[in-house]
Amino acid sequence: MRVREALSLAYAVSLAALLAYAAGTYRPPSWVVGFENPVSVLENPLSYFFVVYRDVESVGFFRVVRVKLLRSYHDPLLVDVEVVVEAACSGGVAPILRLRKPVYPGQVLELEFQVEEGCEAALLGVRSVEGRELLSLKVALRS
Amino acid sequence: MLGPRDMPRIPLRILRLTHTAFLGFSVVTASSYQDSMTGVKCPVVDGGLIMRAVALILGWEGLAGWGIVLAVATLTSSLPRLARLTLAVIVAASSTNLEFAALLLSTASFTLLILESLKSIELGIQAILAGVILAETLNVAYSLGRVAGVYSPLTLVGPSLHLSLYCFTTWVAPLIVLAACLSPLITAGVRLASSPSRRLRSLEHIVLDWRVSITASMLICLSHWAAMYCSALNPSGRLVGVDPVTRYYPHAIAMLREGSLSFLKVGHDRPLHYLLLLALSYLLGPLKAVKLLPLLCMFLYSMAVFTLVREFGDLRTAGLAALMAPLSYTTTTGLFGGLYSNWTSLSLAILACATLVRWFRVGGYRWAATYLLLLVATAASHIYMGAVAAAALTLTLIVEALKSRKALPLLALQLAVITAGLYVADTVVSRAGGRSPLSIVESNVRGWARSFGRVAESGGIFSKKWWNSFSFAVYNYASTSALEPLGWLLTMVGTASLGLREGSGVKRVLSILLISWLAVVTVLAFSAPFNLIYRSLYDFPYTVVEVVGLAYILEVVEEKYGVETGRLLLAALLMFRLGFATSYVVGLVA
Repeated sequence: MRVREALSLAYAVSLAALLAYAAGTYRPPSWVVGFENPVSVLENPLSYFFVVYRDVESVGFFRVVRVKLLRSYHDPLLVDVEVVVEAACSGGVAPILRLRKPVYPGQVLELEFQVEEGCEAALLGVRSVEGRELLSLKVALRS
Repeated sequence: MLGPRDMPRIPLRILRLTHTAFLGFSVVTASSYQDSMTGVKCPVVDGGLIMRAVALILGWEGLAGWGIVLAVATLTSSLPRLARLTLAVIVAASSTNLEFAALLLSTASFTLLILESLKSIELGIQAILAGVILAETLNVAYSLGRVAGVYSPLTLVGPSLHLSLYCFTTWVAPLIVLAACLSPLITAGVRLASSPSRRLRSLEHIVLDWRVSITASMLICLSHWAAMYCSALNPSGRLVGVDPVTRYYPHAIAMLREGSLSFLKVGHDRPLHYLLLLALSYLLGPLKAVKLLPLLCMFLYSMAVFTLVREFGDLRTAGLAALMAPLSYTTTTGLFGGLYSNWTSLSLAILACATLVRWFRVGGYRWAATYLLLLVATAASHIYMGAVAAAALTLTLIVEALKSRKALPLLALQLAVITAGLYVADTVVSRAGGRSPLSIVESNVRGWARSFGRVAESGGIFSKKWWNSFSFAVYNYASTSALEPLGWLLTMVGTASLGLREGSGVKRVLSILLISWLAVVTVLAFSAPFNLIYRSLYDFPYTVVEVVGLAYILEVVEEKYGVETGRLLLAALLMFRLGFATSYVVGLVA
């Protein structure tokens, strides 16, 4: 009986050591671990997009704008959207970016574009493919 | 809990139920809110592999709703009046500053849960389980709304609540899969440390009537299929999954063009399944035939699992297994990859196991012949799957033959049938112009040997390179299907608990069979070439072991916390898995 107890103890220790070693060598792939800026719980749940991040940086003669939009869970059948970005400058409005892509509920859409330094603002619009406006955002380029 | 004196007109049971459900829902919402505030993202499948953020957005109306739910839970609690009043004031006070309201509600929810659990741990557990059930109900309603093209804004919080229930486990998903694979080692330890004493107890008083479970199982299969091919998400009726597009549809057309014997050439490694595909294509046309295959696979798998579990458990447990079948890794991965041949072959292997168990019980040529016939059908439906099942079954018969002479003739017969079968198949398929099964076996063995060498060269298992391949198989192949943690955990508990079960007769055979099968699959998965790890993981009847694990957990919970907690646990587990499977299928089609 004692031999069996000793054997089972030795086995349990070896197994625990094996599992601990396996756990110690594991590193989750970097892309699996991700965080975004949180959205306020008080936002309107029937909106389509929320701005979770915006940043403007000067690079040479340009302003680089980075925007992250979170697609809400509202109206999940609406997936294909069109993003239009224009620069509001003294001479008028100039197109910068136009892209069409599917964005699924809970997904974050990351956008990065550059605008000439002289412009005042970047106008970002997200529409459904039928042309319904889902989000309209003005990013001021001058502080 | 308020006593009958306090509220004489309200039946105590309804009051208790309301309290448990409201407290649980409030706690699950609070947990989701915390996750939402960290901005955590997790991989899910929705139109492809995407990172989805837990974003609990309630608006002021939703927040007010949460406040009401928590207020009801507080006022119906069993705490002293002063404590109830204090919490109620906190909930009411939160309405004065909406920015802090959610934080206050979240803290109050956890506080109430802790206070209730300190008084009765059973109530605390029941509340969490009830909360999971309600959250998953909303999630399933949201998913079904997507399928039908109509949805209610009330269900909008469903996906966030669901995601926050398991999001953090996705980071360690490969470890959970690994633990499940290594569970035969735990079984051996359990066996060594304690003598088997537990019988598989009847779950009659917890589980639904088997007819209800089977009906529910069939309805889930149908709704999965309808989500794929009769839903607002797929109005054009395009084929869903990988293999239906790249393999089955073009092959069905090729077989129709080349004539009836072409199934031997086109489907050289799975001729029996291709014969079925050809017959369906003649009857319905190739497109409808391919669309029908997943439904047949789901039905066959549920039925096979029911049949095997019926051999060692009661009817209700078998019904529960059938209900769990369409919610399993086998189903979600099968639908993603369109692994219809593998899946059919696995179902036939499960049926072969059932007939083997029956043969051990009653003996007779009839069951032995049926068993061998099903084993041949398994290999003929998918040669690789057949090889894995044959290896596990041969191992089982060898172990049994060491104990009793009864298994010896069947073992000899099985080896003869495998040898003769391979020879016949090789001759017939080669003559029909297909690639011979022997050469497939040979190339698989060569591939594995090369891969084994590579694993050894790069530092063996658990090296950085090995983990990269294994993690890729878990996360990327069959996109996120392996991230549902319950299936793996139940597999681990089920396999380990086999060591505790009284091992006599049929049950010993089944234990040996399941443990040796999982051991074969683990060895193959750990040493498989990069792209075949998930295919190796696929070749095991998880649902059968899961139901053994679930039975063990329910026994323990029932003993400690009573039947009601057991029932709630079962309902919560099933609802979580239903939520995962439904979201997965919807995401696959979206």
